[in-house]
Order: sequence, then C-alpha cells, then structure tokens
Amino acid sequence: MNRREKFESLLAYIADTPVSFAGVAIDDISEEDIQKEIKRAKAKQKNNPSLFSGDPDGFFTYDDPILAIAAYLYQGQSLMGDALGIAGEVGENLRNDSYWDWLQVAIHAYHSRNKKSYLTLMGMTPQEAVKIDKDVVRIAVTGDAGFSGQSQSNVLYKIRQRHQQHPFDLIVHLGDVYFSGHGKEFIDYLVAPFKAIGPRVLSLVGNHDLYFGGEGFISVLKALGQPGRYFSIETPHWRVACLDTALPAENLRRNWGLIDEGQMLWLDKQLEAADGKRTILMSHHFIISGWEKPSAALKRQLALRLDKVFSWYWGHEHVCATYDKEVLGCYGACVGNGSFLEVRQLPKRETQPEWYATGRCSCYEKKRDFWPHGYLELELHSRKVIETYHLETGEIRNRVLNA
Amino acid sequence: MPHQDTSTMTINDGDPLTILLCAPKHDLLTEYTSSLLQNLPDLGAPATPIVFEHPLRYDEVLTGLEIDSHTTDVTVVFCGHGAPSALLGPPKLRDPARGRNSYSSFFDISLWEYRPKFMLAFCCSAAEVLGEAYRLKSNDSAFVGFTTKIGIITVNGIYADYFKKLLHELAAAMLRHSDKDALEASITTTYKEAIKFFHKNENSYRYARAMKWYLLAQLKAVKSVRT
Repeated sequence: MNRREKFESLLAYIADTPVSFAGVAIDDISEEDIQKEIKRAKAKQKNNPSLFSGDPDGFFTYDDPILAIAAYLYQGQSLMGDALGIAGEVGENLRNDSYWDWLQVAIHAYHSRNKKSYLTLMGMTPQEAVKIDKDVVRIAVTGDAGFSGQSQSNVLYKIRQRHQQHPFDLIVHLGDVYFSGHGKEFIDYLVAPFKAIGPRVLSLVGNHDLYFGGEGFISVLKALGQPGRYFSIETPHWRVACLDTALPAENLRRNWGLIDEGQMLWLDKQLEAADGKRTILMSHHFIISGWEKPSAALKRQLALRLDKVFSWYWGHEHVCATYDKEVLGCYGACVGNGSFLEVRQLPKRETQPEWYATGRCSCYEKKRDFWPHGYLELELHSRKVIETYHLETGEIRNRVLNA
Repeated sequence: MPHQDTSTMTINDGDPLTILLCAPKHDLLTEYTSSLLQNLPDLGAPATPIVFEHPLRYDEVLTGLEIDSHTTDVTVVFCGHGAPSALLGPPKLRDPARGRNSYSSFFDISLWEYRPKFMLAFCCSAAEVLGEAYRLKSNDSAFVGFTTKIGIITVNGIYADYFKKLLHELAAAMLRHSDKDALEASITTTYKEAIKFFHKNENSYRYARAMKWYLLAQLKAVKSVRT
C-alpha cells in the first residue's frame, strides 16, 4: 500500500470502530462529536476522490479541513518515525497507536478554534492601495507555494536568482500554506522564506489558509504589513486587484471560491475607476480550467465583469497553464505550481488551455510524473504585460500581452 | 487494616459484605455496559444486579434492599456514564431537545453519608472529584475509577469478554488489596495483560487494534485510592 492508501485505511478503521464514551461532554466538543467528524471525513474522502491532492507516496493533502488536518498529522508522524529510525512494522504500529490520540486532540482543537477570528479577518479590508510609482513594475507571482520541501526551496531560489539579476518590486503569493493554516506553518512556510528573498511580499488567502481558523492569516497580514485580506496594487498604468475568494466561500472546505458583497462593491470601484489604468485580477480560486470543475458561483459573480479585466492570475490547481482571451474573456493563467506535488494529467475538460508546462518535477527522487514547479515573472509596462513562466526544468515560456 | 480473606468475604470485624452491580440502561453504551455485569464471575460474596432504566438514587437502592450502609460494607461496581463528581443515571426527561447534559445522578457527593465502602466506577471522569473525595474524606475504603473520558468498544464476543474480565479483576483487586501500591500494581498488570493480548492478536480480531488504543487510554486514566 502506498502512504495515501495506508492513511485512508487507518482513517476508515478509526471511523468504522464502534465505540461509545462513558461520560458527559464538558465543553462544546464531545468525543462522540469527534468520532462523528472522523466518520464524516471518511465518507467525504470516499465519495469525493477529487479532494485528494499531491503525491500518494509522499506528501499529500485534501481540500477538506478535517481530512487535511488528519493527513497532516499522519504524515508528520511518519516523518517523525523515519527521523527516529523507527522503521518497519514496529514503527508503523507505534505511529498508529499515538496517531489516534493526536487526531482526537487536533480535531478538538480545530473545533475549539476561535470562530470570531473569521469575523475579525472578514473586517480586515483595505483602506489604501499598495502604490508603486514606477513606469515598469516587476512582480514575481507564485501560488500554492507554502509547502516546505525541496520544491519550495528550488522555486524560491529561482526567484532569488532572478531578483539578483533583475530586481522584483513585489512577490505575490496566490494563497495556500499547507496543511491547514496553523500559525506556525505561516511563519515557517510563508513569511520567513519569502521575506528572505528581499522584495516586499503580499499574500492572497487560500482555502488551506483558513482550515484552522482566521488567526493564522491575521498574523500574516500583520507580519507582511498588508492592507487587507483583499487589496490592490497600483502603478501609474495598472491596477492589480488581489481578491479574497476563500474566506467568503460557501462551505467549510472552501474548495470553490466566492466574493462577499463588500468586496464586490470594492472590486466594482476598481473596475470603474476611469483613471486610464487597466485592471489585472489575482485570486486563489478560478473560473476556468482544463482539468477541474471551477466554481460556478464565482463564475456567475465575475463573468460579466471580465470585459473590464485585462488579465487574471490564479492558483488552487497545482499546474502552470495559460488561457487565451477568447476562452476566458480576458487573458488568464494558473500559477499554482509553487511547491506542492501533483500528478501530471492531460487536460480533460472542454475549456482547454492554450499552453501548459511540459516536463516533470525533478525536485525529489520520485518515479511518478509530477508537474514541474516554478513561478511567473510579470512585468507591467505602460501598454503591455510581459509574462515569463519559469519552470524548474529550465523551460521558459513567454507571452506578451498588448494592451 | 485486617487482612481481607475473599473466601469468607467479611471485612472489618466481620461486617457482612454486599456487592451491588449497578448499571443504568438507556442508550447504546449502557445497553452494552449493563450486559457486561450479567454473569460476572464470583467476587466471593453474593452480588445483586441493579439494572435501571429510569432515574434512581443510590440511597433508594439501599432502602429498597433494606441495607444499612453503617452496618454493612457495600461494594458498588458501577458501569455506565460518569461525570467528575457523579455516577450518572438515565436522563431525567426523555427529551432529546434537552441536550446531552440531562442525565440524572445515581450517586454523588450529596449521598456521601451513604457511600459504599468500595466503589469501582467504570465510567468517565468520576476519579476526578469522587475519587478525590474518597482519598481525602474516607477511611478504610477503596475507589477505582478514571480521571478522564473513556471509550468502550461496544462489540460482543472477545471484546465484551475482556471488559467483563477487566471489571471482575478490578473489583477483585479492590477487595483483595489493603495496600494502595499493591492495588495500583494489580490494576496495571490487569490492563497490561489485556493490551498485550490485543496487540498479539491484532490480525485475528477486527477491532483488536482499536481495543488496544482504548485500553491504553484507560490505563493512562485509571486511578485507584486505598485509605
């Protein structure tokens, strides 16, 4: 069995064990509630294979908070066992025995998290734009890059190298720090490594960023000095509206994005500013994909506004692909290949990308075919945008978009 | 402390010993736990099963059985739901909308004057307050219970057999040992043997692995008092 199968088998075992607890709940979350959560998680995992993301033999996660937390703990325990040299069946048993304790604690913590923090984060809206008063502005864009490992190190190294040759004004992360938005994860996998490169860093909110509450991302806003959970970047010629499609999402998994009413009013003001600047959108979620079904609700919200949008960059899918204006309504690209391992697949949906990354990831010694990692170098000129997609394979893809 | 000879089962100057096997029966857990007390192996004295589906207080049991707790040494083996300061009985009102904390109290501190000399509280959390009360305020008594929530695999067969065995051995140890270290050691040995069995037989029984986890958790949570 690969690691994913072992994890799912263990989860199913825990979920299916008929157990009752011989006491009363002394807080909001009882052991029975935890057991029900595990059962629900197992049912979700079984009925929605598309929730899975990553390497079945290595690091993986799910687009569901309980599954993400459970998978994170399982992999953490495996790593601990490997590090301590507890191998084989003995190690497996020890891990499984203590895993059960940890899973209860984690689910209890998840449910006990401060729900007020979501309200607090909802209120963190921008009072001003991030202004860069330069004729040509350079932004490094990467998504789903908050995953510690060789792939993140390689991508950040590439960005740093390029920054030393031709400095960036900003780095924008399109969201998702793995696995569940726990405070320490943000420091270790986003703030510290990204800020170490040099330019100012800004981050969008991804679905994984909120699985453990809003406190983690609130501290990110403070650490990065970011104007809000959504914000705009303004240059003399461009307005980059960076959206939060995760916090307003309709369900707990936040798998499909949405924009709240207040943010929509703000976005409309950006789009109708009539100051001669063209608008670029950035978001975590998408409304078009050659691989996965996009968010229908988000599409309904934004499709009629795309005539005012020049280009749109998003993450969430761990691929690198560009979309033509005729297909999307504006130029678009997915840049979600920042760090996570994802098995390569041919696009299978009707809306096909005009290009997607070739080659395979070589960050780890794996036999499977994973998407190559990389980032987007975005150069905003007065009347054009130059996109340069840098991939770990050495492949470089350029696209010049004339305004 | 006089030596306790379980074959005659008289304690302390020949006071008769009465064993009450008390189990509420009103939900999935208590349906199971009440069945564990059926046909429990002999503890050396007559044991009276008290299975109740409606709220019942411990002093009412004593009255009904015409037991004077001041002259009779009572052992209570309780299986069901517990709280830090109480052994719980069926809900006061059968109304799901009342929520989870509507259990009646079978035994709590308000019945302290009627307390049994020996109490095995096989339920959640009772060791936290009731157990402490025994430690601080009782004399020549014993209490065995748990400091936190405990999970019970509610499956018959080998699992129920082992829970029965645990109940019997914990109760017997409580009656047998006048020394608290010996009592604690006996309880630990009992649990370790059970855990070892399920560890060795993980592939033979479907829930053996889970049983091991829950027994390990019970071992961590078990607390014994011997005054």
